[in-house]
Amino acid sequence: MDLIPGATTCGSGLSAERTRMEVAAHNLANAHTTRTADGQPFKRSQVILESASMGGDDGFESKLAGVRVADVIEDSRAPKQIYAPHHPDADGNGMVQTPDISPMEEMLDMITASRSYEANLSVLRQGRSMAERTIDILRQGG
Amino acid sequence: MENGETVLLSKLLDLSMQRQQAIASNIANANTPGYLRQKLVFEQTLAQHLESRDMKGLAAVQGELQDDMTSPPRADGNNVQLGNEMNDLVQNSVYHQLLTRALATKMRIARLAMS
Repeated sequence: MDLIPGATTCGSGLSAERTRMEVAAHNLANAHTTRTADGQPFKRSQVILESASMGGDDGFESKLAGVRVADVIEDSRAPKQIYAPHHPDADGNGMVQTPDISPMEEMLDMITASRSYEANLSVLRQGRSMAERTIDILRQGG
Repeated sequence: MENGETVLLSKLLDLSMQRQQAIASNIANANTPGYLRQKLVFEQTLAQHLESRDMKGLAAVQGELQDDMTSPPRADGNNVQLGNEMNDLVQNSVYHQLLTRALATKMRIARLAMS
């Protein structure tokens, strides 16, 4: 058992939200990338979260679920076609394939990730003060 | 020292720690598709042991996790509402504070009686 109740679970939440934030930043940064290592336009990444047991030894804790990043997958959306005949990556018709990334969607992801990160942090803070108060029983009473 | 009140107080303290873990789990999974809110259930067993003055049974009461279906799931099958969880978190923290203070007061009284 954690000394701070829920610390492992909060930790898993913090790292999952961090990954979501990183992936959103990665998507936004590459919103106009027409060329990647394989010569294709950039494909949007998406984080898949799943709940996972935090592996406590007693019955109660083994039932508690934390969260983990199951996978980061490539979005299946087809690239957008933009007419830009002078672009070096344009095809015969003057069309350039650019990633179909909506800044609104990524911003929304970033906001929810950041709010959830804060929520996990405050659980951790409250848990810490609970542990401190429990330890203080001995100081006040003993 | 091992009287009924102390046993009850420390059990409640224990259960509030468990509830904190359940809330942590709900908040960590606020964005996990298909996750259902977990609630800690213990009131009934606790009340039974209290009624029969069964202190051994009282000390052994364990909280049980159950799926909470009171709020309808969103499109992704998740039914955690972050606002409600934050509310529970604060309430649980204040409750825990109350319990620690009660336990500390009991111990202080005992010490006064001894000195």
